[in-house]
Amino acid sequence: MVARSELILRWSVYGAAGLLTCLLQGLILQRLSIWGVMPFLYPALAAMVAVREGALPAGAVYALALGAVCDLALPGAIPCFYSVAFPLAAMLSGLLTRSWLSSNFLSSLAASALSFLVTGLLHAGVLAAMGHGAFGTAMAVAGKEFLVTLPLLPFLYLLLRFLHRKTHLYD
Amino acid sequence: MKRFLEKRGLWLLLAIAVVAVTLAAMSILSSTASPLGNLVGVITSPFRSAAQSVADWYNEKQDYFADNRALRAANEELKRQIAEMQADVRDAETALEENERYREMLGLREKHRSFDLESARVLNRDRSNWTSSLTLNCGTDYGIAVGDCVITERYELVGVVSEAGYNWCTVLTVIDTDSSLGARVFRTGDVGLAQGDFALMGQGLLELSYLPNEGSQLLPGDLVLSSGLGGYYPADLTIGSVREVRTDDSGAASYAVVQPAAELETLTQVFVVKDFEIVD
Repeated sequence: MVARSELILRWSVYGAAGLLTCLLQGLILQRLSIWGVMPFLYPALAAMVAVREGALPAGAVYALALGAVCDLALPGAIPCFYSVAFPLAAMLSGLLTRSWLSSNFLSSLAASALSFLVTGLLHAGVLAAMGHGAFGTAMAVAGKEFLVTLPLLPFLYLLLRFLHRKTHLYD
Repeated sequence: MKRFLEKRGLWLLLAIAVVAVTLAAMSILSSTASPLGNLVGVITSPFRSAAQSVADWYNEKQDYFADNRALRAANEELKRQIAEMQADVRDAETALEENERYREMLGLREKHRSFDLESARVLNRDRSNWTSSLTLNCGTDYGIAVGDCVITERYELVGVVSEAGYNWCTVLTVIDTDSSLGARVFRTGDVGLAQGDFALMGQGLLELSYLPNEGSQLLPGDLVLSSGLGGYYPADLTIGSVREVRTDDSGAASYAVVQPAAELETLTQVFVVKDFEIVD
């Protein structure tokens, strides 16, 4: 049983990591464009936290909070897109990687790839539902989004591993 | 895992549904940004402004050292265009005088266009890979409302305000998939629908569809203007120029690919049309 104070500290620290990611994304990354797309850290953050802390409930709830912030801050096809996409991506990636792999860098990478895939598929679905069916283009954007974010994932992984170790001293 | 899903899975799904429905409801019920969205925008606005200032400074320094030869070539091309345009202006002045005489003869109201404009600075552009948007530094405090057109100083259409907060607003550009407005081809007078297409958005282009005669009369370079039909948006704002005419996947209809006139990637200053009156 985890003490309440430890839980509060843990999720405050993850919240701060989320804030740091938001600042990095908003102030720097969205000004970079490689192959016509910018790096997008949020799906990877949602997936990596799910791998570290478990998909349910912690990972999914964190992803839900992150999704709600993204929906409030980013323009989207539908108002609640990220609030649906991120928990779903976190649950799937967290569960699958937990079943098959331990929480090392490779599993975080696989989870991030899955998270980008889920988000991309949902984007393609929304576009198709709104009459802009461009499935191939949507999946190409999702793929490029993952590839341009890939060089940043080791740093995100190291940050989360550091935070995980600091907040799980007695595990 | 299974036990957890049975015990708490329903609560988690409920939480996701509540957040999703709340965000959707706030978006639908409010004519401006939702209170939470507004708060996020107001808090982040100074940071965006500071970051954009740094980016502008960097771009300015980069431009200063731009290729001199390219600038000279552009200068020569512009001189040639000015000479052509001066000839056109002389013809147009004659036509205008003639038109004024006819108007007086027929007792028609004087033709005029009046716009209530608000100058705005671009704080941010393209905050995600799935939309094409700009964030501006003025909002409801300056009378900006959802649906207002945004133009450049040359009356080129940039987009339409999609969300307005207290001191910020989001503009969906003409190439965004949610953008759609009536358009008219200047040379032929054909009326169609200029709308964003996801496949074209990545290339910075939009499509002009629902054209009569299947767009067969269109030529590359044809000017596309806003039609103003319905009175919702002003007429004769420059949307862009036709780049090519394509046939859609079914092979039954064709559409034109349009290059926007506004340079969406480099815009720093725009004007929001808060109100307008056009007499033709």
